[in-house]
Amino acid sequence: MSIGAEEEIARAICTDKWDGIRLSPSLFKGANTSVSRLVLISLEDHWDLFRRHLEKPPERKLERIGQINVGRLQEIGRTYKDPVSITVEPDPVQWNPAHAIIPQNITRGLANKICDALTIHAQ
Amino acid sequence: MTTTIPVARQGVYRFSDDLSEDTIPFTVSAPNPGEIDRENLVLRKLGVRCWGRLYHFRNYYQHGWGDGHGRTLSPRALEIFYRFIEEAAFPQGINPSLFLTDEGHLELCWDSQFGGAVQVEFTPSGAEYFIERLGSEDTVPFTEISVLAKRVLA
Repeated sequence: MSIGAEEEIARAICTDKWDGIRLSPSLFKGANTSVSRLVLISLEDHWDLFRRHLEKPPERKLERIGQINVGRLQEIGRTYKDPVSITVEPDPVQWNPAHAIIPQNITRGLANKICDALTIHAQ
Repeated sequence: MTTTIPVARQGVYRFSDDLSEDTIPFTVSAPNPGEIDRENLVLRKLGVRCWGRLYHFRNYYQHGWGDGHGRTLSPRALEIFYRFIEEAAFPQGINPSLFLTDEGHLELCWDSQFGGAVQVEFTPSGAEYFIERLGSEDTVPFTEISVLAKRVLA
């Protein structure tokens, strides 16, 4: 069953997608984009979780965490010039029980809109 | 007179297999022809930040980087990226950003002097571009990279 519109999701933003000035739109481009559910693991704990599992190679650092509401994400998809019905599906994995995916193929233009709507957290 | 060369004694200590001389390739890495020119090209056109990031993407991001699915930088995508920046005439103060996609492609982003974002993703077969001001998004084969370099900077 898809994740409800009231939930908040997070996406790790590492060195390859953030250069201190801009955010890469490829963060949300394509299909099966990995996200994580904040209702299951707090934002604070996500910093440790992402650092432990995503900082590979060691030169790749977790720079930011992007957060967005699922309902807001779906609204962006619905109102885009080529509308996309976006869903977020639970996909727990061993290292992250809060893992979920956005299965739809997100175009570059739509990914830009999603990136613009993210709340960016720094630590 | 004959000199007998002493027979090498079996050492007390031995290297483990992975450190023994037989397994270490004694090669000297020389840059490919034209490599220094290309590094200079990246420095001149995109600046030291992009140059440093490209160095990282080329040398540290091995297959499986990130969550285990990240792909190493595609040599063909890199070649097409070089061709593009050879042709591109970036206006002063553009300050582009360079990213590595999970598929091993390079992505170059900047803000157009006419407003809005411009993005080009270099793939093994060509490039995908997005011009926010025009709302245009498309792909071109590698044979049209020169044309694309002019189009996205016009």
